[in-house]
Amino acid sequence: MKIPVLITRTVIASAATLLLASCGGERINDPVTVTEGSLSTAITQALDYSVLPAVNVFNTASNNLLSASEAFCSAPSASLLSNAQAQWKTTATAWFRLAPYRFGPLNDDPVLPEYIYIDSLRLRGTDYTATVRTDIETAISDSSTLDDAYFAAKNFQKVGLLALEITLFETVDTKSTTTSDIVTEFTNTERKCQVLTGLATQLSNRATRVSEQWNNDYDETGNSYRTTFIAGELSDGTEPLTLLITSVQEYLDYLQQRDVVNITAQKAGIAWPLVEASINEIEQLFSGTDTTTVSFRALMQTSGYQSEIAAVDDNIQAAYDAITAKDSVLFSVAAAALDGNFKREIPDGLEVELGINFTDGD
Amino acid sequence: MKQHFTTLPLNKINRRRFLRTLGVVSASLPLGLSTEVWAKTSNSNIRNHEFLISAQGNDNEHYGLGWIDPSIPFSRNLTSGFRGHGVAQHPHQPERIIMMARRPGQYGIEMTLPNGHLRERFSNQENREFQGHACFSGDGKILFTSEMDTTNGEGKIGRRDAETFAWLGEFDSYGIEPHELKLMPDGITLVIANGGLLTDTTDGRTTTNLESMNSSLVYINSLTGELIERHKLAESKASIRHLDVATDGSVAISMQVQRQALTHQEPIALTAIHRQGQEIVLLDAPETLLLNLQDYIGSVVVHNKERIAAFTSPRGNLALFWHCDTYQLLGYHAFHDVCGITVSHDQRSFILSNSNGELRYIDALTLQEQKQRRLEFNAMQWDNHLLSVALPTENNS
Repeated sequence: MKIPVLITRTVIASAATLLLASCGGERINDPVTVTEGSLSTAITQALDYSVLPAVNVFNTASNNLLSASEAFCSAPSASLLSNAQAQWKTTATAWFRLAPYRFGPLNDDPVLPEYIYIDSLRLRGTDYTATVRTDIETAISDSSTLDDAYFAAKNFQKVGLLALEITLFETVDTKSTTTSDIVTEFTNTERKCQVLTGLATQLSNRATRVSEQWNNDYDETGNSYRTTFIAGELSDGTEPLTLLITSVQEYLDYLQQRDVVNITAQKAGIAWPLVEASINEIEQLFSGTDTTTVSFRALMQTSGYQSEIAAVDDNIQAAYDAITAKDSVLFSVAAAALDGNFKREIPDGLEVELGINFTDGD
Repeated sequence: MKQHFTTLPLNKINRRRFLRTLGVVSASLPLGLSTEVWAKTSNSNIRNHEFLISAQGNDNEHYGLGWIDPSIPFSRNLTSGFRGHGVAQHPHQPERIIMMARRPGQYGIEMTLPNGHLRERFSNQENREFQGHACFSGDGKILFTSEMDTTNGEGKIGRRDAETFAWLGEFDSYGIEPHELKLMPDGITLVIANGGLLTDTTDGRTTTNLESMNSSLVYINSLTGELIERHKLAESKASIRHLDVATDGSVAISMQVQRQALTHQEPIALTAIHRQGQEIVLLDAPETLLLNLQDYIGSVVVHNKERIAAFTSPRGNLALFWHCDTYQLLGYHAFHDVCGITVSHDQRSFILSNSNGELRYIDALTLQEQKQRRLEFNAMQWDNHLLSVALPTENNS
């Protein structure tokens, strides 16, 4: 495996026991050296304890949303609608934990990337609510056969979490968000249930496809994307850590530039919990889980980058404070600052070269 | 395998020290090639081989003009002390290679192949900044350089004696911030990409005229400096920066959009074809693909035989290919941080380079990667532009 880093320091660290478990070979009193091996371990653990769980939880949630939608449509009731709506929230939350990892199976087609069919807002911050409403109205009022082919052929603007949210959380005719009105409409309009289950099937299929490629067979190679990633054999030549760091950078840039908290999940009313889920995920990626033995934070700590770690911590806390205050301006500022950490402090702390700087063009 | 040299940051040393520190040639072997094998192969028949040349490096210590012979292969670097940008080959003395400093630039160097000797180094005139590119006149006697008048921002095309690099004068570029320029097939007309951006004099990079930016594609007479044609894009916030010229005079151009000056997120075409006397034709692509490019194309090359204009997007990690005549998007190739692109000397391939020191070959007929030809030079970090050069066949031993 090729590691994209130039590790130039040999560091005597006090956190020896943290790394000994994974680096192997050292005795308990040996000085700890930050090696390509320990960084490789950190990448693998980040993948196994953060990225892959996010992939799999989203897949499970999407499948459960389909089940909840089918259960509701089999006998529409307020209780089952509530279940389906709750499952939509769970799925959206799972997506916002996965969203910082927009690479691999989620984004390996430059023309038709999978992620835009899940979250249309992510492409360029455009709110397609009006498009979705018109499309659902059309589907319900015309005579098209609402089968899998119908939904599979839809443009990305008309499917995914947004389309499911509009379907589940408001009525088509008056845009009522009252539970009884929504249940009544589903009861009286069989085609709306076909829309709901059709959209849920598509989302579930996509989530399953992404999970399958991450875990089993990526792009018909016979190897999982996880294996390909850890081996550093990505087809476009990107180094694994570079891809991971720049992906989080791009997500934080997206949160900063787009008014996500004022556009996403407005009907469900969970925009702030969703972005909180993203910050939770990014914090976990950096600091590790209870199972993690070598985290990026620990490697930076070992290398003496305490002030850089403090900067990351401060900005994560600032993001949480903004979420608590529901202050979109402060949240944007915090996201921008954290984005800067993933551009400078974290690569510096891990002694990673991300490539030549083409950001100001030429 | 990384080479280290005692080159100090240019802004911390005086001119005399700069002259001492530049021009160090370092050689690096690709993974798995011994010094013995390299010594043998580099001493005989080396001039039979194609060379690939590019500005390279990511810090003051390593900035230089790097080159490789992909058939051996080995890599070498002539340290420059500044970040280079465009490279140009003398039309009649193919061993002579020019590298210009990235804008705002003060220097250019000439290196001779295959040994990498620093033949000459030249500086900007007072109140002038180099803008990153140069090209030779058809007879090879004049070197034209894109420059800016630092007193008023006007674009200039510097004229220098191509042997001595003595300053001969200048022409207007008929625009702001000329960037890449090329000689047209008639051997007289220069086509110039006026980027249209003014920059902060303190850092030379921050754009200061977003509201009034004024990019243009200009054709001038290289003998008289007379304006022949000037064309503009409908999108005023798109800066024309790079270009290449086909043998029939078709000009492939690439842009950089100043998104911060726009109030929308609509995708904007970044590539186009122009023919003199006609309007600029924008090259279309799916919305998602355009958005992937993140408003910047870094380099362009035309394959004359296949009539393909190829572009690179380092931010989007993509190389893209359009037909010069039908304007159809023919394909794309994902490659991390790709920016350099050239056509191989045998015309069979496009060659791509990236900041990781990697090279990839794309079959010019099928536009599929020839994976067995991948090369990687850990000592190299290829910058914006790549050039294929083939020297006359003769022994050099």
